[in-house]
Amino acid sequence: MLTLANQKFSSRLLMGTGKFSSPSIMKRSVKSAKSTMVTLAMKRLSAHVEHDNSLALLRELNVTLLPNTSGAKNAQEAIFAAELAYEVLGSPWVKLEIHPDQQHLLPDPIETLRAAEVLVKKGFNVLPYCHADPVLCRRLEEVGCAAVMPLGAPIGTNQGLQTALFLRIIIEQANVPVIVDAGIGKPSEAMAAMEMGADAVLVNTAIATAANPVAMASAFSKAVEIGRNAYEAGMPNTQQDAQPSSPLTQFLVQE
Amino acid sequence: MSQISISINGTQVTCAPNTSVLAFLTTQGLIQDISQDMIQNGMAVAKNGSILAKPLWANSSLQHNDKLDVFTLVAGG
Repeated sequence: MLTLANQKFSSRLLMGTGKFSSPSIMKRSVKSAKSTMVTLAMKRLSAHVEHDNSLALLRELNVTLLPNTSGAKNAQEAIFAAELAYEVLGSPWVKLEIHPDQQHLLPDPIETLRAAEVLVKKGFNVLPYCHADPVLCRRLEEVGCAAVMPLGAPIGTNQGLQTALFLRIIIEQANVPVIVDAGIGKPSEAMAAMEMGADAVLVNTAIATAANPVAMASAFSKAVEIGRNAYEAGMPNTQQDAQPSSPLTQFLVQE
Repeated sequence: MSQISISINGTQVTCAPNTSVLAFLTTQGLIQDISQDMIQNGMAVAKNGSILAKPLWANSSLQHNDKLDVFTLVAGG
């Protein structure tokens, strides 16, 4: 079981709900992924316009809703977005996400740390999206974040665990759960993150933009479970030199 | 003044003076059913830049040039 802020989650696959071709396919994918925590984004409502009913659909599932602060360009905007989300849901969960750069969507570490500190003091369960920077992750942990969410690659790129070397260091030193977020493009990459010892992964684009999102959600669910099972079984060490798995007796040679 | 001007998500709209925020949102089609549980309506409102908690919507009356921002949660990563 994944534990975040003293709350238990049966699934280690968190899902983003963006980019699906329809809200109903999104809902079916969440069920198929067996995700128990899913993200949502804040948006201004337009008068007299039918709006996305994802929130209502997700409320029908037994999942924890994790609103993000995407769109915020600094700490102040992110704190405001978190407070709006609290007003909508009445729940303290927030995925803190501050990426002022629209090209690469890379998280601003300084604004993220500032916002995290304030939001933790206000009582939020803060899950910060951040670069795979072990020093930053430690600082985010120190200000009281419920987990850290380092990226594998830029958002939506499906480029996998480009930051693997640093993810390993983050996982090794963290005292809070590590959720690998962003960039995971294939179930094998989710599995690799779990084998590495990540506590969970967050996947959105790779599921939402698959030819069959519902089937891909199921594939990710299995991959995450297998990766975790392997990690818990104790991954064997790698070796430079060959080590025989069979006895090397020369039984074919007549003595 | 027979009508006052209100900005809602950046668009100027007119309404009667002292209209409550709740009545205004209903007129704008943003609240379909005011008998619905307010916590469940999936909305947040900021009035002049400060969040206005749901229990205050019915009693907060709009003044000329007030600025309302109305938000909800939608699909997103």
